[in-house]
Amino acid sequence: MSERLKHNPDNQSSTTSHRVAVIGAGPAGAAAAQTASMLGLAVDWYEKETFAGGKLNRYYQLFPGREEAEVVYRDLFDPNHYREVNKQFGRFVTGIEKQAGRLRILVDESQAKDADAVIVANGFDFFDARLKEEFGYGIYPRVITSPDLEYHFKTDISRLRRGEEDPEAVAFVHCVGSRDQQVGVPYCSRVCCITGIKQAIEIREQFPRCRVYNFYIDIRAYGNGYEELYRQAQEEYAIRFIRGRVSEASEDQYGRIRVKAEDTLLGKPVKLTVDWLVLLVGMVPACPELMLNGQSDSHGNGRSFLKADNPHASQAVASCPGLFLAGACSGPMSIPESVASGRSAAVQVFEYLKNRNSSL
Amino acid sequence: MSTQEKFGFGMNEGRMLDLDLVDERLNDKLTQKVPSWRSCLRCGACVATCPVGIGMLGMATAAGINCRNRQVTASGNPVTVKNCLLCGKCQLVCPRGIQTRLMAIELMKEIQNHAIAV
Amino acid sequence: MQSLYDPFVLLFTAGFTFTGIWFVFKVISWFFGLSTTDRRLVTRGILTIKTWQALVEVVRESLFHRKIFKTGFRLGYMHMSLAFGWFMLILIGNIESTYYTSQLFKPIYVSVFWRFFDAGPSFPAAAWAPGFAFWMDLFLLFVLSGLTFAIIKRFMPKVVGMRRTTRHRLPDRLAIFSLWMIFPIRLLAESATCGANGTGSFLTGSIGSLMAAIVPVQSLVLPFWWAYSLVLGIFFLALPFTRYTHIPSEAVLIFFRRYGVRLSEQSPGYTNLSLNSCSSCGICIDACQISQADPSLLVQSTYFIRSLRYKTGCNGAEWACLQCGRCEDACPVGLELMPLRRLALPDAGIGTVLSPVAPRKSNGSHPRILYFAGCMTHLNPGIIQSMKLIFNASHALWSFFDADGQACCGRPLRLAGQADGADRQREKLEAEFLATGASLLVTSCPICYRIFKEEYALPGMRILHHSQYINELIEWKRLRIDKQAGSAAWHEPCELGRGCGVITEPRQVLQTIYQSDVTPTLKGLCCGGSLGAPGLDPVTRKAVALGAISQLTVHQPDYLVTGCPMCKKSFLPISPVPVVDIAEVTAAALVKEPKHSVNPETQRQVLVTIP
Repeated sequence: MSERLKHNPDNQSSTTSHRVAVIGAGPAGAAAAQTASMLGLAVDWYEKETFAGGKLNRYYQLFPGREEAEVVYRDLFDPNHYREVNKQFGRFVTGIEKQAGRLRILVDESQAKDADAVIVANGFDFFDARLKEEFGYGIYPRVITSPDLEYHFKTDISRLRRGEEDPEAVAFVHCVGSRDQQVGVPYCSRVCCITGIKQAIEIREQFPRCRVYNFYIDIRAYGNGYEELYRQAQEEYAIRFIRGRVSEASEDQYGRIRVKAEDTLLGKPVKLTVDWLVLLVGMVPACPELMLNGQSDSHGNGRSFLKADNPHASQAVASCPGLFLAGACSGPMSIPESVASGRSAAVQVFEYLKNRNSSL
Repeated sequence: MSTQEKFGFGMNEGRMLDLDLVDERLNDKLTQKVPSWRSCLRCGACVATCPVGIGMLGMATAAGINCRNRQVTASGNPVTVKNCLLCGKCQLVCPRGIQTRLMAIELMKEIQNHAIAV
Repeated sequence: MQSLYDPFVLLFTAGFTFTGIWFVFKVISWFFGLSTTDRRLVTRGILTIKTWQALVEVVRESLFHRKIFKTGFRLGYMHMSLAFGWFMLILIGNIESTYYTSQLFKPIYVSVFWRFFDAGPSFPAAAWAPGFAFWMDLFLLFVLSGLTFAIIKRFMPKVVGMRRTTRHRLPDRLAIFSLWMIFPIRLLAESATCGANGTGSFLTGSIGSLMAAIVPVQSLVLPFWWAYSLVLGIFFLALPFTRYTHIPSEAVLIFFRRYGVRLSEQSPGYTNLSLNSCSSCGICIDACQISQADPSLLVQSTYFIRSLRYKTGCNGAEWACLQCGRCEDACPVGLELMPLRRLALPDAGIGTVLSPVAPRKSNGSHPRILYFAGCMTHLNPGIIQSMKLIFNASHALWSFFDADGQACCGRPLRLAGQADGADRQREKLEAEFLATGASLLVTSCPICYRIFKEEYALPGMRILHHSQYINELIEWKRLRIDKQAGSAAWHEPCELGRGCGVITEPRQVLQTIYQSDVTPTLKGLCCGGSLGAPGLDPVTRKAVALGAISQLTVHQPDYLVTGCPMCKKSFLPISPVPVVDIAEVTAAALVKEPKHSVNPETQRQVLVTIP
């Protein structure tokens, strides 16, 4: 594609007159903005925060290769990789309107800006673990979620110590707000299994004498290198994987967390007291405010992932020409998948605008 | 049987499940009444939360539903549905929302009909 | 003197006699279907004031349908005009015929067809005649107006304030059609007679003279009376096989009930009487939340009773009822619908074997207050944590009964129709409670609370739901509350409000804590999480819950407050506003006291402390 650009300067000038709006500056939005600008499109880049990176800013190391999140961040947001980008950071997009063949981005309640194409990359939210009250998140101080733990690793992992002492035992609970009919999350969030495996390894590295347990229903180590990391966790780090869901957690007199579960492979009940209980929370659709022509495609708890019309071949939303999806706004994704999805959306926008031009 | 045939490593016969000897009729009958039962992940949350220590997984194992072998019991002790209090905690903790209370009642009816040995 | 007989009366007489014999036979079978104790209640009650009270109730409910008026005026008018109007037609007919014939005892058809016999020359128009004719016409008009509503209701239930009405079986439709025909044909028959003789009042008289002016009315008289007798005969012949059994049965039910008979396994006669007393009016359909959640699920009491009465099988509906009790509350006949359902459930013998539970450890102290969280509450630890804070803040001498070894109250078994298991569980827990010597039992679960209140024999022990306990603590100034900003709506758990009548206490607590109480005025709604329905699928449960939430949050409260762990579990994942337990909001609103103000003596006796 870039080769064709070099050989055909006319093509470039014809597309620069087009404006593309990218909503969201996480990995998917970054990849989309980068690629779109490199293809010669004028990009308006919206982000509700005043800084780029999204949730990546709170991550420590990334699975499965354990790269530092900061390194990935630096690479994704390197200014040398961008052309003509109009950063609209700290601006909240409240909706998208379709008007006379052009799309209008509604910003901060009152303002609006036109665009020829829009790439939605507003990402996801973490499942609110308080909805699974039996695990005690928000009630017991020593029950935390996987993003909480990730942030402790990034900032100060010694917070997990009790005085001078390392934690003796840590347990991870898989599928919290994932594959759970009870809280309206029927789908699998895909990346929590591997997150639990990675974080278990990190805990063992940080506190070598700490016993680490993973309570799982199924281990879904689907990506490249995931299964290897799983085996590594068992063989090299002696992390104990117990097949069985923790049914409830309670606090003992020292504030430690007591969990009950059934080891379903042994057919025996297990009781365990840990210093920290880490809930591997699933991914849920981001806030439903982003609406198209005043309508949001939502049901149940008012949220749903956005849907591309042909998820196999295209990220375009056919009901609204010019609207494309990138990253986890269309469903749970890992960072590499989000980046790939962002780049692909940008290329599809380029093709879309070119075809529209030639037909005019 | 000759000693030669017994030589070598093999499965622990005491714990072995012989899938060739499965009688699926009871399983079919019960899962027709409670179809959600088929979605059991065998996660065990029901057993862990059960105030009398049975839980649906234990019941099922006793009844030979999911294990598909009538002789198997959960932990060596005969597990009995008769202890069930129908309190419904298992239904609340079940990630698949299985109608465990109805299953307990249906299982118990089968036990009364002597379709299941407990 | 004109003969007081004509062959056409035979049709009516045959049908009426058939129903009469059936009814006598039924009353005998109901009576002898009672347990010995219940039979004694009836025989001893007959010569007491209860008989008079029952008579008044029969007039009030069977004729005037006072309870249906409470559901809606038009619906009540419809039922009242048909029942009371028809009764008055028979009564006035009887008085008039007695007056003219001077025979106190005469065949019943004489008063039913009086206008036919009255028209003969043997009974010349006396001074009284126009008076009788006027009243008869008035009540006929009254019945016809109600009938118009009844016909409209069949096709447009909204007109009488119902969203949906019962879908009837074929025999019921036949009977309802013959009932509809009775009064218009009576109008025609009487009008024809009056037209031929120049008698009648404003209705029959004017229609009669109109008929006489355009047709040879004399020749129409007999055919009309034959038709009238025919539809009456069909109606009475069909009655024992249709929903109209409720007309005589309900009266018997009222008497038995007044004498103190209640549904029980030992009195199958009373169960049968209750089944026959359901009029299939369909008021329970609108009361049922499942009607909105899944209209295809015919779980409502009218259908359930019908399937029991005609033994057609329940098709799984017996396991899909939430047992919230809303229909029982709305039933104009006052049937004990929830016990009726439970009696019909098969006893699978669950819960009859008691599980070995480790003996409770005694630490030697005798707490004044026992806290029983309940099984479900252990899945909502926020409630337990808050109760600990509240007990300790009020310096109570308390003990956490089911902190570790959880015990079931037996109510879930009761709701699933497993009566033996429920009784065993109750006996066991009763003994455990009494052994503690406590004088107050506080529970966080309305399901437990209901069976404690209704069935447990705990002499010397008060039983409170935690909302009542908190209310008392606030009234006695044992808790100091910081007024919280915002508004709250109270979701009344079925077992607590409708089941046990705990209505005002939680609202008082809310009004103390929050600036405004924006609870909408409505009858308690089911959260969908009910233990009553082991066979109800999660999708319908969620639909029930969403429906309830949308009604509860009409005034846009900041918090939806409830007092039941089950309700909280059902609402929490789908509610647009935060769902909290009343214990949690109380604990959060407690005035933070400095540590030293706690009496060290009291603190040592507190059995569970917050770390």
